[in-house]
Amino acid sequence: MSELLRVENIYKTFSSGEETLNILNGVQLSLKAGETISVTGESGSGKSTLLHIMGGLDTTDSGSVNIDGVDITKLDETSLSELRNKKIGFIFQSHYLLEEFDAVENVMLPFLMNNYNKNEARKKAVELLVKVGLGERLHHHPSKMSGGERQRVAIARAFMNEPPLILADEPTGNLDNKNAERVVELLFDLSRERGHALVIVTHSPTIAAMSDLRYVLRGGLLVQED
Amino acid sequence: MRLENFIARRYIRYSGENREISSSAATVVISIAVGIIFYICAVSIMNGYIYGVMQLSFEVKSFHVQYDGSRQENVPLTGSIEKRREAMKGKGYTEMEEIRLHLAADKEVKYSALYRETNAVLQYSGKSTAVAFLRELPEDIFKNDDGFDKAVRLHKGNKNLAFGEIMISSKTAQKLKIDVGDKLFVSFMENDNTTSVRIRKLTVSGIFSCGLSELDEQLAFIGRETGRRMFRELPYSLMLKLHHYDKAAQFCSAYQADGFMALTNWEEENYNELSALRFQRNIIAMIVILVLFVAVLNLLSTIHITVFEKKREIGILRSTGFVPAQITSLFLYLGLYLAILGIIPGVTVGLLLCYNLNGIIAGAGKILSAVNMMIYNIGNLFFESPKPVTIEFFSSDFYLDKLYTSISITEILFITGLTLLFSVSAALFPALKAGYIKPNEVLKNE
Ligand SMILES: Nc1ncnc2c1ncn2[C@@H]1O[C@H](COP(=O)(O)OP(=O)(O)OP(=O)(O)O)[C@@H](O)[C@H]1O
Ligand SMILES: [Mg+2]
Repeated sequence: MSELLRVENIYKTFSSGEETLNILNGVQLSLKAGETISVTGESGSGKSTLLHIMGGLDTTDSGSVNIDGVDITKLDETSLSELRNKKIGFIFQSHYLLEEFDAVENVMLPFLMNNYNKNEARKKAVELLVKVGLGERLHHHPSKMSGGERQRVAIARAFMNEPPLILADEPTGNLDNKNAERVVELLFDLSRERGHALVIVTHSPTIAAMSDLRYVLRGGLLVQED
Repeated sequence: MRLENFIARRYIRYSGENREISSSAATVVISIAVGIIFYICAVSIMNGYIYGVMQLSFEVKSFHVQYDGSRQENVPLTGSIEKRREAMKGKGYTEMEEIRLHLAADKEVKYSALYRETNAVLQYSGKSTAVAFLRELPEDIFKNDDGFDKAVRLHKGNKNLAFGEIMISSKTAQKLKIDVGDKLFVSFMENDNTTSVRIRKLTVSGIFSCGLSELDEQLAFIGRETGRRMFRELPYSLMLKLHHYDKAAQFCSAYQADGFMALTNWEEENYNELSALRFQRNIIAMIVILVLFVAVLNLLSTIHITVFEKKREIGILRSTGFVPAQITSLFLYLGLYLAILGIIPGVTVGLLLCYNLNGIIAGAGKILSAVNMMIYNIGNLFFESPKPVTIEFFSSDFYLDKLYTSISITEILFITGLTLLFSVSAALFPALKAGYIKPNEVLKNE
């Protein structure tokens, strides 16, 4: 399988006041297309920061992030936005759905951004929502759905443009255990079935165990566990 | 562009669900609407006032179009002195009648007549004097020119302009302390070249008023036959009334191209007054526009609040592919739609108010009078009070029996466009700020 993501020598420091925090100290990672990996680590170890850097939402001090052979740290804002739209699907701890739109419309948004064809987008969005088990909730607004349902809508939205890379930052952090399990299973099933690579940040060993490879972020370095 | 538009419209539709945004958005919409209502009412009343004043003038004083027969446009540069002097006298009746017949053939012309006028001093029994333009008109002008007939309202006497009679305004009558049937002396000079003052004795046959005292004071009318007996070489001029008063300028320039250089229209004749009135109107409009400008500042804070409330949604839109410019345009659309939401009721209510202004004023007057009467009746139960006066918004001497209102589509489009421009400019600052929001900062796990 070909290499999808290559992270090389990522350094990142934050300065708050007088102190400088070295969060990432030369992170290395290589991810093949369709591979699923988990990242665990203590709170504050820099997992979210790393994920944001891999998705082009945050900048690095040095190092490079290659996605499909393109160094995204060198891209301008426009190309980066386009890359995020086509190559990356984000899932966050909170769903961040748009309150004013129903489930289908929320899922449609990433598609509409580069092809304003509502009919086509709607068809695809409905398919995905049925797939994540929300066939009965298509026209519910976020405020009328449960936490698990909202997160499933967010998953459907992340898969909408069929991005080769899915980045999930504690996608079950706000859910109870039973819901969390179902949502995560869904996430892994969808990724594997469609051949998307998945990077999932989690605190749960059970969830980490579901991935092909497990990593820990410790001391600013990504270490593979067996 | 279309997606931003779609999202902005949805924000508007659901803005009622968010209390912060909805109350602030409502303030914006209402203040823009009120500003526009102010503008439409102020401008259309001013326009109506200008029209009212101008209408009086072009019906009675300047006419729609006139051909000044005393203008010496054809004085030959060479030839005998007598010939040149003859030309300098201005045009006589026959010559002007030919011009009249030519112009009256135009189907835009509704009424035409020859007239002539000169300054005159009116005296009554040696005690009181007044000055007026003594104007000779055809006797049948009241029958055939209904614009003139309507504007010149008779207070006393008749409108016959019979031989040896004169019509004066109520203002002049007051000054002279004269009444219908009394005789007055008119002294006048025919032109600047002579020094001989002539005097005639005429009977007051009618007292009129147009309602605008500055105009009234200037006017005194005599019939054609009376004029013929009084004046010798006073040149004739031609007056025209058109079917459409607003086509006067067009009419003039068309005929001027044919060589009728002495034609002038009412706008030229009233140039000074017209531009003064228009200046007043524009100042009032500018003040109201300032009010509107302040109203639009609310929009800035509303967009600001919305951006703050929606910052996570902005983050997610950015992470799914929106560039900063798209976030900015999303909030510009929002500003635009809020403005449109204010403009639509503003224009509608403004126009409704203007079209029904007289009814509303009359109604308000009636209500006030009724309340006044009620208070009087209640008060009367306890003590003797003087009977209240009926509340009238227009004094009977005011020139207009009602308020005219008029507003053009251009003026509506102007204020609409200006509001949109203001609104988008006001939205620009918070919208740009929204574009600069960093997605990683708003999407961090909380
Ligand atoms: N903008 C910032 N400015 C300063 N410090 C920051 C900033 N963002 C993150 N940090 C710090 O960087 C460290 C790593 O943050 P990050 O959110 O990546 O941790 P994390 O591993 O995701 O933690 P958690 O498991 O609690 O989500 C934290 O100590 C945090 O305080
Ligand atoms: Mg985190």
